[in-house]
Amino acid sequence: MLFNSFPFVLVFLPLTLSGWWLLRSTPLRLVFLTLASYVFYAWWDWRFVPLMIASTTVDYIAGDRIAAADRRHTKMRWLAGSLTFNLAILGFFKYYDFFASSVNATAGAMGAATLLPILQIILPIGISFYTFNSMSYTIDIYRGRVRPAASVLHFSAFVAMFPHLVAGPIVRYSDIEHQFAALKQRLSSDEAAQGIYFFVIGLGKKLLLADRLASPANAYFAGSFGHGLLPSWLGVLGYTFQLYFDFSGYSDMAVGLAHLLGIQFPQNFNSPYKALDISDFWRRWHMSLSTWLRDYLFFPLGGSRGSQLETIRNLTITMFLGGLWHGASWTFVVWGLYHGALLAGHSILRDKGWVPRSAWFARALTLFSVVVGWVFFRAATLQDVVTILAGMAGSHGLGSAGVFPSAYLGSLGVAAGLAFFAPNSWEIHFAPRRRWAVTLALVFVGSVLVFESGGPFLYFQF
Amino acid sequence: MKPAIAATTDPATPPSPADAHRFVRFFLAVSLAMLGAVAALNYVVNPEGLYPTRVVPPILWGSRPFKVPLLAHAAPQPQALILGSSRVMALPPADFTGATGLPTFNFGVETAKPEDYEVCLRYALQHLHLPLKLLVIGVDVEALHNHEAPHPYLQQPTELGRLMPGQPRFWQWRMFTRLLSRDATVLSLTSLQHVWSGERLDGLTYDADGLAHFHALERKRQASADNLEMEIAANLGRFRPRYDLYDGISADRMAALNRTLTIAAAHHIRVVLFLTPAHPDLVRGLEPHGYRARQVEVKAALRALSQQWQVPFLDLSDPDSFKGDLAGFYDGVHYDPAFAHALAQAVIREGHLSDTPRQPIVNTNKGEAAHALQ
Repeated sequence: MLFNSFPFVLVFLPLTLSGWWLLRSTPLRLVFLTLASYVFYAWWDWRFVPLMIASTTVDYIAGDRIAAADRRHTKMRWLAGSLTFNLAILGFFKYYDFFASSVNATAGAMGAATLLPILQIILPIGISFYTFNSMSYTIDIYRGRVRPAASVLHFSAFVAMFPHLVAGPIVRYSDIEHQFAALKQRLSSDEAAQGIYFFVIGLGKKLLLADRLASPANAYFAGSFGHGLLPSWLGVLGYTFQLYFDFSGYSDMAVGLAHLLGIQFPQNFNSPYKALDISDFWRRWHMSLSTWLRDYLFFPLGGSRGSQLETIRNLTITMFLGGLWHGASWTFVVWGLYHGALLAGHSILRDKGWVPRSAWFARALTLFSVVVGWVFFRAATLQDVVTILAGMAGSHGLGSAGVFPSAYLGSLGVAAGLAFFAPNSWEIHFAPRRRWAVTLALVFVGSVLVFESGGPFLYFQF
Repeated sequence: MKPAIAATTDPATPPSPADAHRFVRFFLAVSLAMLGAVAALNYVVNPEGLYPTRVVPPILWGSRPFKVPLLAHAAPQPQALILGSSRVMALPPADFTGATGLPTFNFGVETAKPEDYEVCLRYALQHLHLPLKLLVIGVDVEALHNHEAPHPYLQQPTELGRLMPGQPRFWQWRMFTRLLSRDATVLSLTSLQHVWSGERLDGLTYDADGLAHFHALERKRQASADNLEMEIAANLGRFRPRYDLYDGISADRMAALNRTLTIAAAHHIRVVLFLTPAHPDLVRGLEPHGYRARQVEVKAALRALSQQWQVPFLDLSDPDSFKGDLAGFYDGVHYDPAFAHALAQAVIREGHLSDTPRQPIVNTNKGEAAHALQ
């Protein structure tokens, strides 16, 4: 079920909020939230609900055993079991076909026959997010940073909780533990106002901005507008803003929905296109993933405590895996490595003091690097990447901006203005006044009216 | 974590819980009021003909919402249907009634393609239980377009849309949510704008037997001596992009045409297929855009169907073939009553429709008719 759909807004959300706030007992409320979230998930494909239940069960038991074990190697064994299970389901559902086709292609190039069957596996929606949520739980218990869930109800509600289930933010149990321990008994007006604010702002970002950019940007990446300099930059910039407003819009909606349940989620985006350097970008973009990769991958690898060479190695491995997390494709792998190289390069230059003095220049340089990276992220193949980058470099002539509808250029201008100059949804000084109520109601109604034409969120595919 | 309510616009009076309470109530009230107003507007104006309301003149409707109730109330009950696009809408049902003795209804609808033929036939048989004995289907060259979506009316849960194969369930829900769509709202506002501006609404009218009268086209023809040339030029501008995209016959549309003939066979309904005429200047203008190649393919496909189902296929694409006066064209594809009469007579004559006794069609590929309505 999509947040931007009639069944969600008119049926699921009112029923779920009513049930959640009418029930008084914590266990009942958690059961209700878990079941509602399973319905939310099953709306897409019920066959994958058992997979989530299996992941929840395994990690709950593993967490319990890790906490109960006295000996370090017993804890380690349970942790390894939990991680293996999560990585195995992620690996099978997300990466098997990619792995098999890569092996077959290599074998084919060497004149050998097909070695592995391609299974055409359907990627369970949100699997990357809920496995990361779950893995952080067992790792944090192993590290002694969080206590095991009070009951399986607490843990299953944490994993399945519909606001973050399919596209994040990646919430850790430590973010939720104390909130579940003392569930609010009634929805305060302040919390409701914040929930409405975040949900509607996110809805507007997604439907009134990102989706306005989607069709022409898609048409560009499908090759419909040629690869002249102007269409290439306009197409790639369109995707740059589409992705930001789509994903940050989803995150805002998730934060808003959590507020409506009386729960607070962490911030996931902090004006990433205002970043001063690539390291700053990753502190602002998909923050819950960046910090996850930092805490559970980069730091355990040694972080930046060792030599420069070791830091570069750690950054490269982290970003390589971060790229692969986004999708089973060589374009994502190269995108991850590209960002690893940027971070490594930035680390070296920063150590030498070679950083731009002008903040504007630093921002422009960072944005340029990020936009080039999005070409890897969005293009269907590496061959397409080469064609598009060549177009952006002007090797296919100037082309014409007229191939894009004027409304697209207008939306692009608005999106750029908001991304570069406006405060983000967490910085806006929201006050629950009538003026805000009317403004948000207009955005809400405007968004509802385009539900029919709205597409799924881009990060659903990851 | 940063608080969302960070400050107020007026630092002297920070928001109180009462402010937040009022905000929530006001937001919900304004949102519901606006959504209710939009839904009411779209229901009353009913720009797409989805609801029973007929308050505002339906300037934006296509022919489908008009013809569906016309067919339902036609008396006597039609036993013959003319199916096809706007290029058959002027074919006089009276000509066919006179020749066959069967009460005839012109169920031609604009931009009709085989999915339209199929749902029109299903509607007549399944919903109205008409005792049909004859189908006359006028096929346009672009009716088998492989890159054009079905008409929007068929994609909505309308009387005909609900009969489209593969339509999702819960169409009542879709009818409801369509009230809250931007597209419907824009159409409603445009409808009202036309009403307020007093624009003439009689560009196209229909008789009780479905016969169309192209008043607007007729007025334009009378107003200008070189109107035909200008209208053909305008149509070329519209058709060229369609033909640029039309690079082969749609398998789905051939399947729909095949299903239509299957249903007809199952109900022992006689069928005549014909290729609709077009002005030679229009054809020449479209030749560089693949018209001839598509025409050859469509003719071949229709001939194959004709042999398979033992139904006559009449190639009337050239007006000379039935002595159609080229001056009878309004715009290269639509024509006046005299031209329509000549075309109808050609269909009747070459389709042997006045012959008796009339034989139902048969399928030379056995086993399909039994599944016609499944």
